[in-house]
Amino acid sequence: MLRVLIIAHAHPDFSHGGAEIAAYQLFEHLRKSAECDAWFLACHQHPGFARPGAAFAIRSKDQREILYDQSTDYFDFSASNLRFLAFDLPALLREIRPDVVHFHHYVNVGVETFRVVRNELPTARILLTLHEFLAICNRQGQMLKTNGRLCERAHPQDCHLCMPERPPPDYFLRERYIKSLFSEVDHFISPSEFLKARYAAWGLAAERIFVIENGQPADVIAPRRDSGSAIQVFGHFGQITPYKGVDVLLAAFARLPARTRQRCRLQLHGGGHHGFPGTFARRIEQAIAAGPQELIYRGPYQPQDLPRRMAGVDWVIVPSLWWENSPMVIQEAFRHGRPVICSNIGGMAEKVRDGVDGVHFAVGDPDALCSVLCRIIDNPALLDQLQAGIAPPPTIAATARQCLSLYRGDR
Amino acid sequence: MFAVYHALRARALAMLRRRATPVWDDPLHPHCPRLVYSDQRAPGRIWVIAAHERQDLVRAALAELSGRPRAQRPHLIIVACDPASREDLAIRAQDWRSIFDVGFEVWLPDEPPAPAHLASFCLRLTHRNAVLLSPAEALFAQPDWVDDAFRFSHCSSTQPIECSPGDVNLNLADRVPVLVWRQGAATERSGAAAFSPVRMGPAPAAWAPITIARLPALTSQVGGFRVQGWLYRHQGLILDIAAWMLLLAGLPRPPANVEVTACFAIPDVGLFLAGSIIDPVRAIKRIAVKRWSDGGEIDLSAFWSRVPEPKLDRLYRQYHVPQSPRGFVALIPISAFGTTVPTPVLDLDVLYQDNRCRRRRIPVSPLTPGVESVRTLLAAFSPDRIRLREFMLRQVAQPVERLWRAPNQGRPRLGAGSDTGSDTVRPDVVCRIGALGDAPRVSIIIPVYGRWDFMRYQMESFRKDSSLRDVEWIYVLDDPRIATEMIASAEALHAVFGIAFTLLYPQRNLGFSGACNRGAAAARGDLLLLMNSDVFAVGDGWIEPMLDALHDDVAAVGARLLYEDHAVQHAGVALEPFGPWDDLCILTHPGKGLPDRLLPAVPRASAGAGATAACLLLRRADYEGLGGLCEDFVIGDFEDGDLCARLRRAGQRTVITAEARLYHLERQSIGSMNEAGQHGMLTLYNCWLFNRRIDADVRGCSLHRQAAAKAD
Repeated sequence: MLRVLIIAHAHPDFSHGGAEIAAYQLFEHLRKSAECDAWFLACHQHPGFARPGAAFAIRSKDQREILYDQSTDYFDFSASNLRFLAFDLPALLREIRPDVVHFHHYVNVGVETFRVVRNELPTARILLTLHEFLAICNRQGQMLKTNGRLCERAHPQDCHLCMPERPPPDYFLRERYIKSLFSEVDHFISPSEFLKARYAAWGLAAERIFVIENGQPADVIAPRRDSGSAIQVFGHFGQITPYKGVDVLLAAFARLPARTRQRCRLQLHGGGHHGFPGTFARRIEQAIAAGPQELIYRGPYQPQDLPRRMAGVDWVIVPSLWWENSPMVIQEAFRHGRPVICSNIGGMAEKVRDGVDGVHFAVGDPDALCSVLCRIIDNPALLDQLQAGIAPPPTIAATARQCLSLYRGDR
Repeated sequence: MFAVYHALRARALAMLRRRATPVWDDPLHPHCPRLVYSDQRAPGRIWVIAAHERQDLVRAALAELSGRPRAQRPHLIIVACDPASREDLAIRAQDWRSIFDVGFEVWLPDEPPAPAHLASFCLRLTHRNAVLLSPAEALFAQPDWVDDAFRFSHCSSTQPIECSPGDVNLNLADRVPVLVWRQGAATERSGAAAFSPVRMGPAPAAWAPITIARLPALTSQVGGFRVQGWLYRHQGLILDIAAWMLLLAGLPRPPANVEVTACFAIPDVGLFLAGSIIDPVRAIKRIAVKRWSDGGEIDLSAFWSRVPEPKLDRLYRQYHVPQSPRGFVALIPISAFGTTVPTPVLDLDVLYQDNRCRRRRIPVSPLTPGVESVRTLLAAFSPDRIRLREFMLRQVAQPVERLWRAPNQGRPRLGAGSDTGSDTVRPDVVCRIGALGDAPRVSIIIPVYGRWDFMRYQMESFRKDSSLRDVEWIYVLDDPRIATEMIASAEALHAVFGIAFTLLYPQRNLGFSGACNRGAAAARGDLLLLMNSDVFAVGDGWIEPMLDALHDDVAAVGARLLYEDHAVQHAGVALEPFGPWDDLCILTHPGKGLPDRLLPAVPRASAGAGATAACLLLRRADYEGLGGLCEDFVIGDFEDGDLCARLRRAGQRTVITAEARLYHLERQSIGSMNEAGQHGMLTLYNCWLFNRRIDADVRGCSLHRQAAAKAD
């Protein structure tokens, strides 16, 4: 029986990021599987959970979901609680003795953890699923510069120009440090070819990176909307942040000719813009308030609400300004059979095939998006055509199968 | 203007020449405190790393080395060059050692070594082929590691040059001056070319070079070799040097100050002083305390220990002024004053180099024995953790012992019965609630402090357990704040839960040891079970395996204690030497926090050191034979480790039965006691006392520290 420890930077019970959800769903699948003895370790930073001298708290009755009191420096992802990393984590590893340690992030976990695991378990297989470009880019791992331009590669000088608070040698040291500790990882898993290419260009050996998409749970599928309807509904799902390009979408929608606009609706699902400092939240609020009546703000939703919300739209728009890796919203749209209109870069352009299961537009360009929307509204047959082209995203079971073959060293 | 300046400077130089050169006292002497995390010296070279504020660079260097094959790793000596972060470095080093699995030494000099000290230190190691590096350079010690990203940072020399006798080339990056050194003659390099290859962090606004090399007086002999240095320093140093010159020139108001922040009279012990000294240019010659009996003087430095003063350290670091720790703690014994300590004020004379004197009059606050006084005393200073043993013994032990123990004097001693007659304090209040059975087998003793509402939960959790039929429950009320309520509710508790118990109220806060000893004196069972008030049953029948385990040479039995989520709280206690606290042994709970189901019944790391008294079963005869728990520990901590150590010395064992599982919601009951800072200092004191009491036992387990003299 293969003993697998999955380490995530957070527990989905307390935060709803795509990475921790993917990690937990994989664990849930393995926990039920007969060929695995699966354990889940998730970092937390709740002072109320902490107990003097104890690194861990337990989340589940079967004691397999363990919370780990750890956080990291945001610059080089070095663990803050050294004592827990140096003494308590090895004690846990000694008791579980996993054959495979699968990391689903290094934020909060600490990059030194790879070495601690290697020292404690010299023969264990260490895997790391990459979720965005954080190791490469210190700006939220988005490779999007402070001046709004897309970033092609990290370089100490360029990073200094982008984020002048630190001198170039600091960026150099950061990269060395992270790479040096990444050397303990046997296999990297990337959910997209694009992310793999970026990490390979950064210096990871391409043959150590495997592309495995994070699977989707097989639950309720939102029914197709009545195709006879003359009105097409576009939906935007997910957090409203400056990098998601919601302003581009709102600008494009406002530019639609009034007659065309009357034949469509735009629904915004999700919130979170209030958390951003400066003018962003106000700008979005004003744009929503001043927007045409065809624009409907539906507000935040819980993951279990998604099928219901998805049922009300025909198209999903992903106008992100940064590269993205493998956005969960695209997978969800495809699972529910909704074609995707997205920016023509990075992970979005890879996952959505222009003219097959979606439409691309020039990133950050409201006019380009506007003309795409016009084309779709004027040509209602396109919806059926693209819906037919959608291939369902992999299930969690499929992802787990691929991971298991990596765990066993079959690939 | 210039004439005045030159005159001042000439005078300063003259005085410098006359004076011995205290600035150059080598802080890296062979007896310098150090932590050694390696018992085998790697063959080949030694790297000396100067660690400044940027400890992340030290960490990065260790990470790089840990990626190398063991045979190719040099032996590392990390020298703490920043007094403000010295203790942090000591604490982190222990964790780094375990994380990166790299052996190294950390030297913790009292004064930050100047470049010349580091140079001479390396020379002493020369026959072992040492090379002095800054942490940043340690990363790049192999030429092929240096890549594009490194080259653009304006550097001329990327490769450190290895030491050979007589030819040292030192490059100290990171705000430390560049020092080029050759035997016999100094070779000057142009400032720009010799400047540190990688200077980390933003450059200070004004870097002003001072060529001290032009001051012949500072060309001195170090390690038998001529060393000449070029110092690049921040403005602050210029100001200090100017101030020094002014001082030496005899201008008024020397830039030095002595601040006394605490002055306590401890009855029968002496006078306890704590404070700080700001003296960047060593203007103070002597600090003296006036003796009133004969008008004589007591030299403060004969009694003081220098301690860190975190606030001042940070301030001084901004100006890059190398200095010794600036706080002080001094216990002046009563004998130094003659018969009595001065009250209500103390005269403190600060004598300057130019023989001027400034008198300060300081109010003396008398401390009356009691736990509040202990807290006041311990909150008045920050300790010298690097030399903790000596510091505690010299400054803290006597006052705390006097202030803590005095209120307990005349207490009924264990075994002596509670009617010794010499009890000068109020007698215990004893309430017997419900019908107590005859001849109980086990007496369960539960001190209650703070959260007495836990009694309800505890009684409910033990009520139905048939294996607890012939036990006697003794609650010791150890907290006057809750006495009225608790005594008033006792009958009601009995009515609801049907447990008969004895409620003992000694009318003051005795701490865990005192309360348990009172309870034991009142116990009727042959066996004692010490228990915390926040311990609850997981299921019934837990006491049976504990009773079964108590046989032959097993004198004490502990239980497996769990948090509410079934993470392990206690599965035995281990002794572990803790480098950053001067190698004092601390008590750790191996396996703490792990899921209960993961931990085997017999813990892998042999618990050895004993069990917690949160749930501990003993024979009353053994307990009384040892005199019970030691009451010298303030409030409570380490007394259980001490008891187990004394049992061990008597040839008896402590074991843990994993079948006995109880919840222990650690520290929930005493949450209010855990006030910032003081509690940490209390723990430190109790830890020191524990080590002192068991020293003979644990000396052998001190793994880290090697004989200092060995290096030579």
